[in-house]
Amino acid sequence: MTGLAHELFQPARSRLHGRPGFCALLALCLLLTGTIGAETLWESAGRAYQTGKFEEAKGDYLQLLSQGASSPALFYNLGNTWWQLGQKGRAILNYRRALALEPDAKDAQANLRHALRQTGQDPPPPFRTGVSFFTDVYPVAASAAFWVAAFALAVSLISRHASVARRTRTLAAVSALVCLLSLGLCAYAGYGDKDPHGAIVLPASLDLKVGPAFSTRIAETVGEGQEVTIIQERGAWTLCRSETGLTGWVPSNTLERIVPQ
Amino acid sequence: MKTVLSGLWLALLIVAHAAGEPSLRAYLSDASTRVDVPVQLQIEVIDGTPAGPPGFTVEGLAINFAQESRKLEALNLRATASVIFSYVVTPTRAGNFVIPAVAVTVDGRSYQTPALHLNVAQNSAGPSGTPASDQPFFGELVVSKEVAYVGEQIPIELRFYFDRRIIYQPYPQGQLPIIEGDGFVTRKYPEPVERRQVVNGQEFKVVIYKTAISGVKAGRLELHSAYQEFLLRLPYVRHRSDAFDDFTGQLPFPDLFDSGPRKDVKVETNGVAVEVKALPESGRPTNFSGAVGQFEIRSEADPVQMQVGDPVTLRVEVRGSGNFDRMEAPQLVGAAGWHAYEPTDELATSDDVGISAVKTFNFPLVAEAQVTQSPGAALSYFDPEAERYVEVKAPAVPMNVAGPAVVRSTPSVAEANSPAPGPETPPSVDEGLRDLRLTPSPTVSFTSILDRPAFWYAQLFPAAVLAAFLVWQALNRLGQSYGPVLHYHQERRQRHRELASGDALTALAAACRLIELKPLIRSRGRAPYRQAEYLVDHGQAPENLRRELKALLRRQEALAFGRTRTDSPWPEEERRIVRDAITRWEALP
Repeated sequence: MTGLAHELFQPARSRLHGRPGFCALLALCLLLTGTIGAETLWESAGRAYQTGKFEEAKGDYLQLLSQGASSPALFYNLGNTWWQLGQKGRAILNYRRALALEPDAKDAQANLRHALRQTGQDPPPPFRTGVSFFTDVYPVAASAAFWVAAFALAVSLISRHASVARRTRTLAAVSALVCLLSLGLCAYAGYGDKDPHGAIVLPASLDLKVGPAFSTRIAETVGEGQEVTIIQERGAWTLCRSETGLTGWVPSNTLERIVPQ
Repeated sequence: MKTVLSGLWLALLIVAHAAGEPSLRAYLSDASTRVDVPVQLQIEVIDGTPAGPPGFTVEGLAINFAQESRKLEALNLRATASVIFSYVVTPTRAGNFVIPAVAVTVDGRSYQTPALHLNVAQNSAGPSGTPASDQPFFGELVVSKEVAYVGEQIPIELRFYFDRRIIYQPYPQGQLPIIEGDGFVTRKYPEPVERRQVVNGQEFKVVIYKTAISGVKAGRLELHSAYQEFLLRLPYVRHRSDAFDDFTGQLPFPDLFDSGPRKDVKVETNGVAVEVKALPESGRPTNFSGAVGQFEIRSEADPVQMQVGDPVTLRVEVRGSGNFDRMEAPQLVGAAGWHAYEPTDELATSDDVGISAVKTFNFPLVAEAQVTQSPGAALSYFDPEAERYVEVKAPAVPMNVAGPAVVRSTPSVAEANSPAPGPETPPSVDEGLRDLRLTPSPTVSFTSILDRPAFWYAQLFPAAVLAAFLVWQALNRLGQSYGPVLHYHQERRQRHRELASGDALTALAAACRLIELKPLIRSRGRAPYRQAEYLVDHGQAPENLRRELKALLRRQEALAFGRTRTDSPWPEEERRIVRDAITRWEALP
């Protein structure tokens, strides 16, 4: 089959090889076709949602997701759709994903707060939320401040003019402070919402078992949409830590990671 | 033991006598019954010693004295001693009977009991509906009315009778009775009450579940039966011949007692039919709330003094009896100038079943203009007693709202309650959610910036720039430090070549310059420039070397400035002597 395909496409490739303009036009057409298809699916999902056909909307959004269109808007809309279908855990999961990709999305923040309240959870404190939402900014800020401090220090040591040396030393000190602050925030926030170990509880109620078996004692019961930290995976069971700090085993299919793998 | 108890009785009686006058009470175990279904009458003499049980008769009632008992009570450090005369009252015909006041002689004085009323109904259920009092346990389903409307709450009682010596408990524990039939909704079961009742001269313990049902569709509602399983046991086991001698005189359920002290049994009641009528279509108001029963409504607002835009809560309280669970929120009337949001509600029941209750609706309101009163509230319900629809209204609450008017952005509840202008109804979506995004956004990766190689590669650029800057600066500094020395070394090599191969004038000039270069090279260019003659005079050269060098300098001056210039080649011997002198000069420390 591979040989046949090679034979079928080899002449075409040979013909196209000498025509770069045609190749570019073909690529543009393919790109446009894909884009139009994606937008149509997006619009049909939106229409289905607006008319109350949430199952249909969910199917369209999941199809878009399977095509690799993992955008904040897609996760946000998917969260709304899951919410309308009564899947609060999956709704919270998708709002968290949308915020991981677009931390300052006001609509996703509002809907996440609403969903958490509806599931009996307290919304995270604003400071913690604000800090963890910008985890990608702190390394950049720390890096920029570090290099500014390094250059300023180098100039201050080399310069033979006292005024220039004084000013650059001040700049180096301020930049070093900014760098330290950014590193502190970076350490405090960690990966934030992009923590690869963070997961959301999907069922309405989930028992954390002492061991990886249904017959073992219950350590704690967590509710739908609560976040847990995955520690270890063993077969069909996952060891995780709840927000209270207790650890327990749960069936792996009852959790879904915030950062898709 | 008996003597002690008698002594205690007498002591309490004395204390009770000292405490106050004797009193009498009389009561029936049930105010209504049926023909041949007995009730218990008790006459209680408190804090007194009666002469004996009074005898009395009532036409249509067979009244038989059953027993005399005594009761001691201590409440709030006050002791009371009672003597209770129990009678079994068995109606022989239907009707409303009055058991007249009965004279009781207590401590030599005559007292009168209050008159009692007993309502006796005909035993219409026939043999099947009659409680089977000849059995040690049986059930009874009592329905308060035989005709009702859809949604109307019908109180019912499920009674389970057990012989007084049977110890019972629902089995499995916590199990509630099950009513067989369809087309009705049962309210929750409160905790059952237990009391004693004499049926046909036999004393039973009765477990009574009170609840209510409501028909969900019009038609004949058949409640086939109700049942509950109980685990029964006797407190002790005796031989069969002894165990039931004083029970009923026969073996009522030999299997139960033969098989041991415990057995679970299914106690079943009689069946009942109720005619359920549909709510009338005529006269049904458009704002009918779905409530069926009798209700009152009132409202209050807090605060009553505010600015435009301030929130206020309008509490609308609906009180009465009926199907509160089906009741929708009252409608706000006269809501102009107000923005009303969806209300929250809370229910406070005032009976065990939940038929009588107070349902409070809290309307969050925001004043949008200067208004003088809150919206009023109206509730439309169906009254099954009056068999018509009724609308009750809560008047508006006077208020004082100051400030300029504001523009509304979202529709209020009052507007939402009004008929929709368009043909299509909006989809049912969660109001608390923000709406979908209409435009897609570009794809973004979940990878943290710390895990992206590009971030770390990007650090190489400023690092390289900084390193280049530092290297450039270092080279610059190095050049500044070692530049003259390198230049002197280069010149020294050049001068040595001239000394070795040049003519006399050139060679001697080179030799003079080499004398000058020596201290410059030794000091790495830091020493001040000195002429060769000065260096030879003030240097540390040996005397013979100084003479040779001075001769060399004079010879060079003669050739450079004198007339003894010659083009003949310089003798090699003289060149060797000069080179030797310069070598020794350079070798000096």
